[in-house]
Amino acid sequence: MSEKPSGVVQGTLDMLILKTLALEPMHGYGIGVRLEQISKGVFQVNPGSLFPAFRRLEREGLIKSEWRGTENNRRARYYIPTDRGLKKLKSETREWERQTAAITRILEA
Amino acid sequence: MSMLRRFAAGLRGLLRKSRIERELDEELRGYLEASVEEHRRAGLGRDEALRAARLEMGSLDAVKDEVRRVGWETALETVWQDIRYGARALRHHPGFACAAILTLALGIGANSAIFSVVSSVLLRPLPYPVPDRLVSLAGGQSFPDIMDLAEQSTSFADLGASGGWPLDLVGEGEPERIDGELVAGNLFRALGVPPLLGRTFSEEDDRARAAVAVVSHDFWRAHLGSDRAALGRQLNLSGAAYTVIGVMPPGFRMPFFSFRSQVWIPFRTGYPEAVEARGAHFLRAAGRLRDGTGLREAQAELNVIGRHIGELNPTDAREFTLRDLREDVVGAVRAPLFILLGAVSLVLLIACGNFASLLLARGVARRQEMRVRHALGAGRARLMRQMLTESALLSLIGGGVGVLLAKPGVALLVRLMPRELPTFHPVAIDSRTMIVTLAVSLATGLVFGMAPALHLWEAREANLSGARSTEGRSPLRRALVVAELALAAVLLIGAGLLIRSFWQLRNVALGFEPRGVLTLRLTLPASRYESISAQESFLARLDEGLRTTPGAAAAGLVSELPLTGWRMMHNMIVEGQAPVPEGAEPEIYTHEISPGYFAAMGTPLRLGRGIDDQDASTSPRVGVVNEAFVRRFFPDRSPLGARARWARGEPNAWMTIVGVAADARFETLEEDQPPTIYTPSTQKQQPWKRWTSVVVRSQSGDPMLLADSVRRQVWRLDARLPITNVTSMSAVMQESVGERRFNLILLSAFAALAIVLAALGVYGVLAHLVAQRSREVGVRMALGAQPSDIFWLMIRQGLPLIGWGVLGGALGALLVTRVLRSLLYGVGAADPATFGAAIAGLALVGLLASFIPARRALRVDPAITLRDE
Repeated sequence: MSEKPSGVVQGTLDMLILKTLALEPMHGYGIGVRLEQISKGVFQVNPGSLFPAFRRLEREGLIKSEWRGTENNRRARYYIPTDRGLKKLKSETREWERQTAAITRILEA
Repeated sequence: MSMLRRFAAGLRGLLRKSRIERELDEELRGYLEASVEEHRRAGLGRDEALRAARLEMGSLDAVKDEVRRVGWETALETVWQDIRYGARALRHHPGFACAAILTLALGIGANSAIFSVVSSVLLRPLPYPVPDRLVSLAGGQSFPDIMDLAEQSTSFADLGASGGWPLDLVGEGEPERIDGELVAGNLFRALGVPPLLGRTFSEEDDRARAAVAVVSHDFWRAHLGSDRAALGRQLNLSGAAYTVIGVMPPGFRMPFFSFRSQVWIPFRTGYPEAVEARGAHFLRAAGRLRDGTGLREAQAELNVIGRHIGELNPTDAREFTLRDLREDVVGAVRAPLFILLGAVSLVLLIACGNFASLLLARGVARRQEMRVRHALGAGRARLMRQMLTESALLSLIGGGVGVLLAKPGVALLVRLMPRELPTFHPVAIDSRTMIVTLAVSLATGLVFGMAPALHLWEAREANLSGARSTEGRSPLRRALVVAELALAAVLLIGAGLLIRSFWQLRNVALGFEPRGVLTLRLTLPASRYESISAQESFLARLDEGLRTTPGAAAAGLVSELPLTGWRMMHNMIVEGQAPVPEGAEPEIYTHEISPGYFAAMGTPLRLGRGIDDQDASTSPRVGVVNEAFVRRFFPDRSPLGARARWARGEPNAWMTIVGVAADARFETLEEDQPPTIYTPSTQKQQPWKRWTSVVVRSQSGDPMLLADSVRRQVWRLDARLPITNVTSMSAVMQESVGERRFNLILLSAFAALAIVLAALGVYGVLAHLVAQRSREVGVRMALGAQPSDIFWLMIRQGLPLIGWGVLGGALGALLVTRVLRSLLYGVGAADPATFGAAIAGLALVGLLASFIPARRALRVDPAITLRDE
């Protein structure tokens, strides 16, 4: 991987968001920051793809949202994974592992 | 599941739109603030932090757009936006919008009206359960034949036949003639329509000679007061009592369309004389094939049975041909109806041409707007969609207005429709017509809106500089006008051929003079006129009375009036001809007439004498033949004095031919009269021929004025005799060409519409060209061009369009008018006179349409146009 921060691999953003939320419900900005932190700056997610992803996941019933107070006493929309979302995360993770293992094997062969 | 979820979410999105938007705003604001704080924590100043955060965030609107695009409802909203924008644009150009909508409305309305007829007649199934198992026997059938077939064949679940049988309903008031029908075999069961009340009758009832009747819904309402207790009531029909056992549901009718019966009675009960008459082919037969039996197998079986019947009855051997019932009923009208549908589609195509042309012109006018919108970031697809939305909007409104126009159109069609058209289902704008109209409208808008949209784009590429010179050329519009003119030419030529045919038919030598002739029909009830002598004496007295009717120039009787569909034929033996085997004797048309008939009809005598008063019951039997008869049997000698007799009649009843009458149109106006013999109504040989038509020639003017005194003459002799079909001979003729007139009127109307639309097309293009060249005209005028030069300069632009259009149309017509051949009479499908007249006429219309814009060019003021430069 290059040294420059890169975009998220197409189609995996939803999974990453779900994973982040599985650890702890969070608001939009927090999710972006968290993704950047965990990936050690490899992934930079801009709001132009983050917010459509929230809307998409919510429409599909994988996450829900509620307004809560933040640590700085503001109101923010927190996203929480639904049961369906968690189940989906589990199956997607398995699938991802299966595929990356296969790809790794091919690349190292 | 997930589809449903997305749909529901989208719906929620639409319903709570403002709240969702508010929340998105707040969320994004929160994001921005959080980002600002983060940056300040990293040590940036307030302003720097804000700038950095904004930079990272990008355009807030773009983010919102991305989010909104997740749901399907947003696409819908864009379309809605396009529609609103389009509607606004159209409101600002009402002239353009009205022209486009009206053009399409005319085309679509005409199409919907015709389609509603096609839908009723050709597309909907026959109104019987499982109609595709129903078959019919081609041509007329006799009762014994049908009984033999029903008994011996195994192919049919049920088989039966019916024939029209006028009945006199004698109730409290005046006797009334009603349309009855004799039903043989299990026709009711074969058709399978359950009665509304009671039961229908079957072969068993018929065999038992049960005096029962099934009545139509209309009859039940009109004569039995819609009374459920009407079952069991007695009806006095032509002197016999029948018990009502069933009422059919509304709209029920037998498949053979010319019978519009109100009462159905069993065959043997109603017409016992014909039970053994194997030669009386006046029934139409229909049956339902047994499950698993195909038409072909059934036909093979009928062939075997037919041969067997022929062996037993050599004098009446014939073939039985099975047909699909639906084909039998609607087959004959399919081609004419499709021709009309094709013609009206051509009209729509012309309307579409005008529509596209209007859109093109408008596209040119709004090119600037499109350029600006493109420069502001509207994508090509977005602009195209906008244009297509506008044209679809126009075409849908056009379709809506078209349906409104179609409604009175359908009413008019129903009035014009010939009686023979088998409309089992009411002709109306039904859901099928609505769907087709909607589809046609939408397709019109999209297909014909596409060209202008694409055109706009191409022109944009070529024309960024805005050079004016090429914009006026618009080759697409010219091509459209040429195509419109060509289509109009095809329609005009088609209509012209029909008009010529009608004209030829009007001028055909009829062999009689219909003007001024009154006719009416009588049927003598068997109860009072059973014997030949009773009939003869009544007819003789009637004839005498008629001749003294005030205002009558001549009067007579005829058993079968020409052009009414009534006919009577018998096998005949002509003395001196080579003998033919029994059963193969020539079939000759025969009519019983009174002495005054030829004079009343205006049929000239060619040779010898007519029937006259000396031909009484007791005098030697005589006959008058027509010229076709002479051509057939006496090609080289006089027929006078020769003798002929009926092959199935008394062997000694020879008739001496005493005269030759001119051929007179009988079956149809198109066909020559077949060989015919007229015999005196006072020398009847068959007691069951109890009918006659009265023919009275008026001394002056309207024959209908005689109707009352003729009625009185009849009722003076028998006050209980119903009189039907009171009409003029001219009206009979009119009715006999009803279908032809229907086609003619419609095709002419379409041609007229096509001409108007094409002329508008020519006008539009030329007006546009003139407007485009006003600067050039100004210059030319300033340089001294004469008005006539300018005028011809402008006219000349239209000439090639008109020329190519009518020429192309003529060539197209050569290919297309062949389908009209079955509708033509006395004129070829490539009749040069018709082609020439149509082409000249259309070219003239095109020229006239270009005069107006050309004259407008003369009003160009050079001073103004030059100042504009």
